[in-house]
Amino acid sequence: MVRFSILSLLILSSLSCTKKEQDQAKKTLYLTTSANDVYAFNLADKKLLWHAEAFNKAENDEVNFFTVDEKHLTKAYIDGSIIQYDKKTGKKVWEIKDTDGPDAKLYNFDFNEVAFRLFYQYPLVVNGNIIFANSHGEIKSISMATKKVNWVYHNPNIIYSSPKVVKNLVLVSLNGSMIAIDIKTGKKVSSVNYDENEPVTNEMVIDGGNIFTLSQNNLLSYFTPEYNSIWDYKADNTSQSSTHNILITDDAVYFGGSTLFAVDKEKGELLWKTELYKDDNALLSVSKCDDGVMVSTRKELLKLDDDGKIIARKKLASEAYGILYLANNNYYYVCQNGVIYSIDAGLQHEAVFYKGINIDPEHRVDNTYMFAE
Amino acid sequence: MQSAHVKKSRIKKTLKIVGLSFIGLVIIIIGIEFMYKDSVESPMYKVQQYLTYSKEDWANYENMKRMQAEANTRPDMVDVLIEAPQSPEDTTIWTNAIKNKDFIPEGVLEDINRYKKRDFSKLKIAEDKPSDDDAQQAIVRNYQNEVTSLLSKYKAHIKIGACYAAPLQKLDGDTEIARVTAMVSAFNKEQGNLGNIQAPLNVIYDFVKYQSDPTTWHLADFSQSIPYDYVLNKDKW
Repeated sequence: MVRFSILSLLILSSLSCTKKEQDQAKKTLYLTTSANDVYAFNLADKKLLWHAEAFNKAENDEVNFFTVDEKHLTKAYIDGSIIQYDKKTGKKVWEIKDTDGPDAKLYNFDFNEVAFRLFYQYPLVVNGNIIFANSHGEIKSISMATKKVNWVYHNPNIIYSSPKVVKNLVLVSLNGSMIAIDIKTGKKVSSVNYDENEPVTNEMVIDGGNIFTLSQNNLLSYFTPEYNSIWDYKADNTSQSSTHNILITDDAVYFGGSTLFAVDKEKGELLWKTELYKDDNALLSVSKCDDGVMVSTRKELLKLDDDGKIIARKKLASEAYGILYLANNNYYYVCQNGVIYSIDAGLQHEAVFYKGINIDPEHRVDNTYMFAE
Repeated sequence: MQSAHVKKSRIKKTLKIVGLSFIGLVIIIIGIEFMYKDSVESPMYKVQQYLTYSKEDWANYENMKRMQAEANTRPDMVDVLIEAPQSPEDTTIWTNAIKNKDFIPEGVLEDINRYKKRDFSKLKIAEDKPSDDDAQQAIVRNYQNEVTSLLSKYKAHIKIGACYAAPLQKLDGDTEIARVTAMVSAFNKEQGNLGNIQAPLNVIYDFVKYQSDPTTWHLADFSQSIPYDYVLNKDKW
């Protein structure tokens, strides 16, 4: 009887663990590229669930991101369109086309020679409102229910990156400065100037309520939303550094270009730096792995251990393009041949995940955006 | 009997000596206290210290003494009281009331007299000054949709009055190259002068240009008192 009870308990506990793992397993992978098509795939059987075709291709030639919530995928397009898709069917359920606000003339900021664009916007979806910024210096909150503009904040600068939300503040990087706006009223709460020699055009990255910025000259800064500096780390000898390929884990921050830097997250001290390539290549993405980091460059995938030593390499048949995305212990990446590949954490087993991704040959920036749930 | 009388006389004598000594002591203490009246630490204060102070009290006392000594060795510091600039006031609205000896609220007459005594003789009209459009843009850029919604609602625009040169301020950051103080007012076709319409719009500001952007006027709080602009506000709001 005792044996039977113990056996029953073991079976029950093993069933419960299996169920938990299944619950955590990601089922759907969403993808967009510089061509701005949107795809949803079933991760288990590699089947395409839906595909929203790109439009206005002459203008929509750089990647813009999307936000996935309970029911919808909301995507920004560079021509000012913001479209919400039913995330199960891909059916368009809502759309707007952003233009200059009616009050823009009153501000008289000179954007005559600046094309109206949405650069690298998600857009954010917060409490039923979408929040984003455009190239004519406007930061906007629009009610999704009524399509009414809640507020617009006007700046004289072109905005190249998406706003971020920390508590009740909308934070936006404006090249030379960062501005904090009240999320409900659109009123400026504060602003701070970046160091003149360290302009920030990259997207700021929020981690644990604090902010990381990476300047054009590779100054990595970590600070609180009140702009109290936690630490700065100035990297040398790198190129193509961007927050689009930054990785922040519990212990470290990984960033760089031809050289990858690992910086202690608490102290801001260099843990290690590793040269990834000499020339004619590009760091595309850094992704988590159990005992180090996985890196994708245009020509190969690299696995680095905790000390920054390269412990595995995978040369690519076709050049990679965009991010390296981890889902269910596999890494997904798109190549210039229009194929999504998946590979295991040991870089041993590469497999074709899906053929036929629309790659715009005229795209200006090689990038993709993926999200799985 | 005689010895009893001698005893009484000795007691009286002793009492006299004690009494006179006590009175003498009191006079001496009062005298010393009077001599030390301007001193922080009088003898009585010292006596009271020795009688009542604990170790902690003595530590605090020594600390205070040290800080006072440090403060005394610093170069002379003079606190300068700078009077906050005052908003311009239209005193003409009280002129008739004063003439007719009508009721004037308590304190208003005092304010009017104080206002009339202000010295504007050192003010200089500024040559480099914002246009109406410059002023409106500076205001709009500062207040954003709080003011754009007001201007749109009232179909109003901003006009700026006489501009007085204001001292440049040396704060951290960008260097100022021009600063003026002026009254502004909102106008529309239907109602004419609307004044500030409502908060947060005000009727007096400083307008500042910075070295990094020498063609753009920026809004700032007004830094000096200027006369009421009767030309800008010839139509009262």
